[in-house]
Amino acid sequence: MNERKSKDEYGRTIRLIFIVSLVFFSLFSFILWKIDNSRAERVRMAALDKLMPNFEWVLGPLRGLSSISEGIGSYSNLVKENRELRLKLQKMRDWREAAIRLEEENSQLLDLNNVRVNPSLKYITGLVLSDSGSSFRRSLLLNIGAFDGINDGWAVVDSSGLVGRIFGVGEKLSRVVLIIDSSSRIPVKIEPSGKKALLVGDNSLRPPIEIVENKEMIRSGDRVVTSGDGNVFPSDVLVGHVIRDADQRLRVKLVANYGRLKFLKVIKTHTVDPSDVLGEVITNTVTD
Amino acid sequence: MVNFQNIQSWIYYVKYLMICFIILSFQLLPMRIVYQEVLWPNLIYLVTVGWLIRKPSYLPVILILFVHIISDIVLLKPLGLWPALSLIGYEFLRWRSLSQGRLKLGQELVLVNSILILLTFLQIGMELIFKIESPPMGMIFLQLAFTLLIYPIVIFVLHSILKVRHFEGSETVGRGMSMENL
Repeated sequence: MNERKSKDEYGRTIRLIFIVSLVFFSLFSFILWKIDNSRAERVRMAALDKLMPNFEWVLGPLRGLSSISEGIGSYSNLVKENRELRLKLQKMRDWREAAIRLEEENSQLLDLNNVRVNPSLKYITGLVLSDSGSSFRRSLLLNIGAFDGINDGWAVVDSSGLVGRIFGVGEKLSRVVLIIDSSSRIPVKIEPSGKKALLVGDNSLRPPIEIVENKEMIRSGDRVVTSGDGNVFPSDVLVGHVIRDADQRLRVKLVANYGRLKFLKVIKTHTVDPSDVLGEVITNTVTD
Repeated sequence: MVNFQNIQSWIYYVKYLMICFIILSFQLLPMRIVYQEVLWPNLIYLVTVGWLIRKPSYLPVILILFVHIISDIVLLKPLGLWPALSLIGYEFLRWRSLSQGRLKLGQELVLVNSILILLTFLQIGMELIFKIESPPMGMIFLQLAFTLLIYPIVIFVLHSILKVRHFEGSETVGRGMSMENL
């Protein structure tokens, strides 16, 4: 009897040690993640590469179901939408005429001034696999990755406007941090005044913009486009339009259709590799 | 006899893995960008806790840790922080239900909720110490409240659908806190 009791005691101690070591293991991985964040995120992307196919057999049918329910919802709106669309079409016809006229005029003027136009932007299209699954982090996974030539930091757009940027690339998938995520800061330009500003994500669908000076020059309805500062983003990608909220704060009504993000385009841009820059700085100081 | 019990525990392990897997898949569905004002409660915590109170010897620590690490990876959270904190809470609950016997429903609710609140505050504290950008406080507390409210439903699902129930009398004999259920 006594022997058995001591054996139990022994087992309990081993167990305790085991649990404590597991807790330390988790804490250790957390500290590693904190210290070497970029490497840990790369490990995470590699793990996701392996894990996501396992989720596919549940995700696939669920995705199908959600698209069916979406379809039913849109059918019920069809009549109303049709009427609205017809009205819009009427207006658009006028606009189209005007646009064609302006484009002709514009190209003539550009030709007169000998302006060199930006080479057309190239893009890769990907399918949205999943979202981040938490309301705190607004991000998505795309089914294209390093294999397709995706790089960190590239801009991601849907058919109408900026959605986010690539943050984390795996072999076969990449993570997109949306511009509404609270960690997102995008340098933008407000047209027609040309003011530079910062689009600050705050987890809402109407992110605020921060401007240093001359707020009076900005009107509701002004276009917000990326400014291309910092050489991360291409310039002149449409983001949205300025609106004022109840506190007279300037916010952006995004043009990208956040309700239906399915196919996204990743715009290829030439980015400066930070490691190269660092090397340059070091050699400079040494030679100096 | 030993064999039978082994099979039984394996069935429980598989059930736990499946339910966590399904929860994660639902959270990953890409349709809620607009509807994200509705917060996901911490369902994995609730399932684990409900399990540990009902069948404390049928859920190994390794399995819990595995599920939590996977969910950290997939849900893009800070790796390892929540698993480390919650493991302590889980093991306390396991010890409590193995040594002090069955809890009344009211006691269970109070215990589970207070542990979750404590763990959440610990997590916020750690995030502040390590200067990790944490979500706005309002959202955290909303999620907390939501999680607390939904616990009875999770108990119901565990009890009636997954058949994770309290032990009946003699079942507990022979499976105490020992090496077996590491």
